[in-house]
Amino acid sequence: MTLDHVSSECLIVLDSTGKEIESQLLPLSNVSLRTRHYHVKVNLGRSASSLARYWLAFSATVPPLGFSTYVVSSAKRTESSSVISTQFTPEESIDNTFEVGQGNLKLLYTVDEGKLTRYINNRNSVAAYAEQSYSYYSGYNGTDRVFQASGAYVFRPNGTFPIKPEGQVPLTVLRGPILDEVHHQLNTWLHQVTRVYKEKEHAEVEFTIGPIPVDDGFGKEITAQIKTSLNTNETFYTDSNGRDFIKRIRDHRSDWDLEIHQPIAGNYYPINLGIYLEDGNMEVSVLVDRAVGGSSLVDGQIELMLHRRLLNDDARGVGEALNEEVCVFDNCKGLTIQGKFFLRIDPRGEGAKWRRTFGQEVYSPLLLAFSEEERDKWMSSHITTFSAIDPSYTLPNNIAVITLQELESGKALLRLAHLYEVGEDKDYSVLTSVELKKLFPDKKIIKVTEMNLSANQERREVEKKRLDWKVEGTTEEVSVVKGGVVDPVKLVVELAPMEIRTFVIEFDHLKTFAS
Amino acid sequence: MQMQIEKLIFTVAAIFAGLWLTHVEPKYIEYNTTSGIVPDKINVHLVPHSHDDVGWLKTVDQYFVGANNSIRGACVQNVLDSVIAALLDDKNRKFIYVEMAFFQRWWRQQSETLKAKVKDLVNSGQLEFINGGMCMHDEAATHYIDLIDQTTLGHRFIEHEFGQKPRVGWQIDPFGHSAVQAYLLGAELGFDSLFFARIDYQDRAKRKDKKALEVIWRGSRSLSSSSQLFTGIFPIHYEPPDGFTFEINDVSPPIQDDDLLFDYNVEQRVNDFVAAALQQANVTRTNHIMWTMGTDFRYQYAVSWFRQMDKFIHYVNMDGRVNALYSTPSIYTDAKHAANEQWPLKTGDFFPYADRENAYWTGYFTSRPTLKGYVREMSGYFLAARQLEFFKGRNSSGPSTDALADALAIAQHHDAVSGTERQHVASDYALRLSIGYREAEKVVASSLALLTGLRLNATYEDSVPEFQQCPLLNISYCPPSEANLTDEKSLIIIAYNPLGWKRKEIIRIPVSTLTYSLNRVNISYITNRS
Repeated sequence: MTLDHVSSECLIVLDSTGKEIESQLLPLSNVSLRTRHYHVKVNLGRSASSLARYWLAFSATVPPLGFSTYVVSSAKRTESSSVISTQFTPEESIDNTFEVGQGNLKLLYTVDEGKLTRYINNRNSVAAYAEQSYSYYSGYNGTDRVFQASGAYVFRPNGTFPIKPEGQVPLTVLRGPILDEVHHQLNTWLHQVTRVYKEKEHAEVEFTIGPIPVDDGFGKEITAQIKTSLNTNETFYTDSNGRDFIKRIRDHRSDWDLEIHQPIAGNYYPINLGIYLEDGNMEVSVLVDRAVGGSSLVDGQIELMLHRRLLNDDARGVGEALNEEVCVFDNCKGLTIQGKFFLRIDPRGEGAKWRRTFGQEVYSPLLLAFSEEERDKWMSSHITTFSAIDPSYTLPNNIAVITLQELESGKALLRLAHLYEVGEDKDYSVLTSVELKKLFPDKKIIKVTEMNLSANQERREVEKKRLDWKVEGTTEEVSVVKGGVVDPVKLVVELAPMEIRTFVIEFDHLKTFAS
Repeated sequence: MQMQIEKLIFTVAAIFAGLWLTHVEPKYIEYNTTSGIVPDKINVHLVPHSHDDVGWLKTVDQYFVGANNSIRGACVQNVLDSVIAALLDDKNRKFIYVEMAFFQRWWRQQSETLKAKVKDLVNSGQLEFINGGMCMHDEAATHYIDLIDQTTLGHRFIEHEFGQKPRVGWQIDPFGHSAVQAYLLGAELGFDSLFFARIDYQDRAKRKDKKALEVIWRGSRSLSSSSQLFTGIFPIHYEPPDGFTFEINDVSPPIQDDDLLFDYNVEQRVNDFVAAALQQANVTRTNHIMWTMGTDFRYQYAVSWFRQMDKFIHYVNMDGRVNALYSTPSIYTDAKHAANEQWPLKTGDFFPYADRENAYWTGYFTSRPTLKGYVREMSGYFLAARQLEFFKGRNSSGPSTDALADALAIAQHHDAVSGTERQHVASDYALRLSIGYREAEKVVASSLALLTGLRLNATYEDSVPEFQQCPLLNISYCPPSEANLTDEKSLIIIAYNPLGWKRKEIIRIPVSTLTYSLNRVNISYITNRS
């Protein structure tokens, strides 16, 4: 085991109050350096002007609709500073396993193969078998609608092939006070980093895939699998455009008796937020950072399709093969992609909270802006923390602001969304209130007009015009809870599960914070 | 034999008529296109439309101006110019327009005189905006916030220019249909109905048998019947029935009703029309059927279609077996509603979509993963940038988030974020996003400058710090965070949280830290045990 644990005298991170906080340095991997070197050229047409060597990681706490300031300085002798990650390659181990994670979440890997085997959360006593792997589908090489090819539209696999690590297990582990990382180089075109943050209870998997080799004459579609021992009875759940979750049953459609011709492609569904499985004891959830296709082709397993490179047009009009390339000048190679997915295992009934809350964090990451200044000068002459809402207030955990913008008229457009479905969570699937006055503490609200979703007419007009339809065979109508009319004095908005409410708000004048 | 004799008699009659007519002025036929709904007949609602992709084989601008016609002869300016002229020619003609990205491009180039005429066409119902977002968005690879934003942009444009509110969802081409489309981007918009073409081939066959192509769709388990929508699935696709397409190069036989010319065919064409109508009526509840009279980039010479539809309406209604009328999906929806029929219930969604046995359209869920990633990243950024723009106050002359709004709206098109466009078109969407981002970045920087500088006195305003951002952070590139730090120079990081609750999250930034030597701490990056 190679082990270095050195406290550097180099960087120090201060929070908004000027207090020193813990930070960690992680060396940039060779894969990251290569990606950086190549893609800076692709994007900027020139080489990088600076020389990054490390990631600096620290934990930030940021108020709602607001910011916090952090200052990174070169450390003075008297100050402690960023901890450089401990780095080791797991070579020697008594029981052939090693453990990753400094907080509640622990991931266990085998030493000899570098395989993830267990997911353990010490807080809630979840301990589950979990494996993660990659494979690819060979794209069917066809020419027309009869000999259907896999292409931009159509997924038509012609064989499934596991991607096994080539040669010796190429594994590196970084450890530190903020996070641990496990780096896997599976082959020359597939690399992943698994991150376990001390303060988080999910695993983050960052994959770098490409250029997908096609010199054997076959296009390929790269997938990731997460295997667990959940007894899921052919059932899984995928989101609809990042909102409601819909129950899927393998090889089944609720509207007709399905004739199965494509047992893989025909079980794929779109995923924008995530996919999850459950059995009597546990839930396994995977969230994504962009739209992907996915499925659960085997009980207890989740599959995501992450990248595709294909050599044939699939005869639906586009007239090109989906063979994306990236070029520096005239030197082109197949597209490399980098993305993330996030894995968490919960006791049954507790997964929704993470899917919804963390889902918002994935969609709305912290927005970072950088400046430079003498550290004390900045702290003494600037506002270092800010929140647009009343300092005593926070939006309820089941509500999100999905639109806040100034319209050309100077009025504000506000949309509030309830993040939970009926029955999705025992605490959060309830009618919930938002106090508008506390959302806009510095402004006087004159008028609130509730609109339809696209804000082109008043909601009450829409309700008046709504057509009634008769539905075949329905018995009693389930009563649906919705938030009530907003009282113009109290200015409290109620939201029922899955409700989105849209308002145009007039203020006495739209003063800026600078005025 | 019988047929031949009839044909002979008919021809002889025509020749006599022709001889007779040579002695008089050529006849002008005034086609009666005034028909409305006739209660006790099969009503064939002719819905003239042009399906204009906001980018696919060509970029949105190339499609608009008719550039790159070697790829595909398609010019949306021709469509709108010629349709408006054709509508002004006959007040009974109708047309629907769907993609506001194109309509806006056209509208801003028109004279005030023409704009006034177009407003009259909209007010009279001859020209109706339906769907009305900037594009006909994809339903699989899109996030609901983007769908709301792109629809809002189009709907508010229509409201602002015309005071009209679209009533109908028209997602005729997307490759499968989402639950969120039905309840959120349907019922919650105030739509009365939704129409589309693409559902699984097995599902369609079953629905035809049960006359279940038209349904009441409850997309949300939570909102259920309070957010339901009448939804019509076309029996075949979004084209007219075979033999009724009339773009200038199309091969459908036109109605030839001039006695002086050969090949008079009114009776035959009326029979064709009635037969196609009856066939569709057999799989449809109520006595109303819709014919989608158009397809991709049609009506580039609109009168070519309207001339034939004028004649069909005239002769079919003279024949009287069925009733043909100029219509729109709104009129059709009202007719369906008035019929007081019971409709099958649909819950869930229409994924995945297969158009035949081995053709599941599930590849595009992942196609072009970097474009999909970029769209999602820009979507989150746009949400945050608008908040910061609100805190600062919009500036009528300075940078805004509008270009990013536009670029994101177009990127929701069903051949954009779906990944089913040509490479040069994918590049065009990405370029538009990056241009929009660059401008929004300035809004963000100036808003943060204001918010952080609140305590500064006015004289300091001149040296408001320039905030830099790092869109290439995903490739470990961030020049401001990589700068060398000294006693005089620290790195200031502002972390803005667009969520409505406090959050704790790990920030990771690349740093160079040249001050310490790699040798000294003995770090070497080991990727292989050797």
